[in-house]
Amino acid sequence: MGGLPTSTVNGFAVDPSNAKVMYVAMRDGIFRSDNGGWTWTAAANGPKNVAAVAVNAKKPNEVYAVTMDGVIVRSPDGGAQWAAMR
Amino acid sequence: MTRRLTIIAAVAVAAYSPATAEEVHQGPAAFEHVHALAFDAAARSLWLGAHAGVFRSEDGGRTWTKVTLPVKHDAPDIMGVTPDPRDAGVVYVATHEAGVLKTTDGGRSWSEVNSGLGGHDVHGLAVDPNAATKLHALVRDKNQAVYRTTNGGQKWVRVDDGPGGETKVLASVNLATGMGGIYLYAGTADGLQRNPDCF
Repeated sequence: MGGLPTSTVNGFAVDPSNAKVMYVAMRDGIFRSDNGGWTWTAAANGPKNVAAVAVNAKKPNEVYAVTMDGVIVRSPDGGAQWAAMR
Repeated sequence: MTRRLTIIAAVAVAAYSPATAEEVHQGPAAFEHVHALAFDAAARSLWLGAHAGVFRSEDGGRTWTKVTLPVKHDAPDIMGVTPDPRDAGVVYVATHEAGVLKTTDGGRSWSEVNSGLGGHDVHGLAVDPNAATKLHALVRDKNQAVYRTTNGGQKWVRVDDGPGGETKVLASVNLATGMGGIYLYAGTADGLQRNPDCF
């Protein structure tokens, strides 16, 4: 197992079409695993101080997250790009 | 479970496909102390749980409506929001002081489903993706414990001590354990942990 900073995991979400794909929300940002949590990759363009993350049940590449202070962000491509909702 | 849990350890983190960066804008701070975010089964509604209650968006997070909950508190502290994976009308919420609440009509009406729970401070709530009436709840009281229901919350039974560290989120993940069950993942103050759910 490996891949996450040693800090609190605030949020967690799984791709309903492929349970090996999962996301965690942490103070350090959003992280994605493609192998059930064995390794993790940071979302380089994502926000920090992330409270929770969610995967669209019908379009699993669409991922939402919310920061500790309530900013909603969306990724259309599985966590590569992120933009705030307005 | 505390000792049996496998801690998903820290490892170096690589950059994640930077592609064309889009600016993350600071929006209006409508929510404080957010604890949960989830899509319903139909992906029409996005649910958000926060210190000030439950909110729902029907337009992909642009606008939000506060959901009225039938508890004595005006704004219960929401610790988790767990939609049924198949029925978009069914959503469970875990609260800091009112246990587990359930709606079967998309949030118009709610009922408390706490029979058998050892306390009303629920820090995590996971629904089994293969059996939507089977859920696990992480309850913090004098002692932390995991409870299970197999009938949509009508009755809960204590099944384990739960993970070490304060639990922030709980999820059932459809990865076979090889022992007839799947894994329960817990996001905690000590990191991400998992354990087979066949307690």
